Amino acid sequence: MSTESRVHFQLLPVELLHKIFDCLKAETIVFSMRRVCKQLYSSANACNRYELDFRYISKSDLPLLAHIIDPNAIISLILSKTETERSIRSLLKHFRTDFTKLQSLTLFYLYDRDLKVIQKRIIKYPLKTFSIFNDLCYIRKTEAYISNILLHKDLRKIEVKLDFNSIDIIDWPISCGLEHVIIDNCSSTTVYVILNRSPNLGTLVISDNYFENSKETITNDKQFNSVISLSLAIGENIAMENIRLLLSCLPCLAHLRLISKTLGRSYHSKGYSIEEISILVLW
Amino acid sequence: MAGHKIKLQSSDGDTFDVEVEIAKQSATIKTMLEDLGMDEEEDVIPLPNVNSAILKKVIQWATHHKDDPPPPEDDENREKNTNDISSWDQDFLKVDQGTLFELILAANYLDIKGLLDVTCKTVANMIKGKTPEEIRRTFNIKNDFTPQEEEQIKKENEWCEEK
Repeated sequence: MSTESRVHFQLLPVELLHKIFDCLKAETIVFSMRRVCKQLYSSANACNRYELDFRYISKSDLPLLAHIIDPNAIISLILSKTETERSIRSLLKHFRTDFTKLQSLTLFYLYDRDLKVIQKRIIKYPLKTFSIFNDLCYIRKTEAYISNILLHKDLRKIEVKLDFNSIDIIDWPISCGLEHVIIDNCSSTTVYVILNRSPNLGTLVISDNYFENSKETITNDKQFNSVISLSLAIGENIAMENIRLLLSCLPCLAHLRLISKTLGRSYHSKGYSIEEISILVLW
Repeated sequence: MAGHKIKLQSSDGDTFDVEVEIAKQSATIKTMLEDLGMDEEEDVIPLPNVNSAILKKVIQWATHHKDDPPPPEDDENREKNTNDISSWDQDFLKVDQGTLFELILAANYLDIKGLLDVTCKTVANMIKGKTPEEIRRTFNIKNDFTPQEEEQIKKENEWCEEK
């Protein structure tokens, strides 16, 4: 007896077709799927969660994409000055309206003038996720832009990779709704600012350098019960006591990752050992 | 030691004994168990939208993935990367297209996010890099555009080229 199924691609309901679209680039949906048959044409037109990655959209494809996709159906933008020499202004001019439903914005290596355009046309909408990877040689006052974005009450996730010390001069609002914070380097003082001002924070990742200023004294008697995941790339000058103090105020931590690129060099010179790190991890 | 089991009944009447923790990867079943207080081994959960062959596959998948961490609840962090399908899942999904689509429907009905993600990624991988005509051939889809509609779509391209 044959058990071969009779379910056909076109019998999938539109919400599942959109789930498949989620795994495809916007160009594939618009230039390939949409031209297959009437059903897929309608499904592509009805899709309201397009994600555009400008790093890979060719100059020739951009006008057609911008013509076909309603900007209100775009939920994610990745903007970059790499790959092409076009300015963000010239990229965005193809879209007839602003991106009112945008939830996620990622910026790669933009210039100051680009951020001004973005601030005017994009940042005013309620982002849930914001990521920026930049060098200060391209942008002045990046921290001010980020501080402005942090004021968005819907913002849940932020990923920031800037030049050294930039994170420490970001003005963190008194209370923000962030649940995930991923930053490349950050002092312990700023970490406590983030913890104190983000009551819903669940995940904190410092991916490159968690450091300690010799002049600062950390005093904290507060517990941060929302934090369940912590990943720290430990800098050279961190005292073990600093890490113990941090861990002691995170009682609900379920996942801990400590990384030391300098273990065996700086750590030994400070009197730390692999065993000490292991004990902390077992704690 | 084997865990506590429940019975799942397919649309064609077959029943399968499944460990509760494995079955609970389905949010649909988890909700049924919690809402209806079904925790006795004699209790049978009917799954009228899933036939035996597909339910067997779903249980096989859920058993293999029983120790996986729970997937994130929101869709914000969904990955466009479709190259991260494990080799076990790739082998598991070497099935005919009909079975693959039935697995998508079952994963959606049973609300098993991990299975839905991996099956949709598999279909997406069958689409990537293909022209409309190649997609039609891959999924045996008829081109039902009228000549006028074809012309309309063609004009869209010309509109952009003229810009």
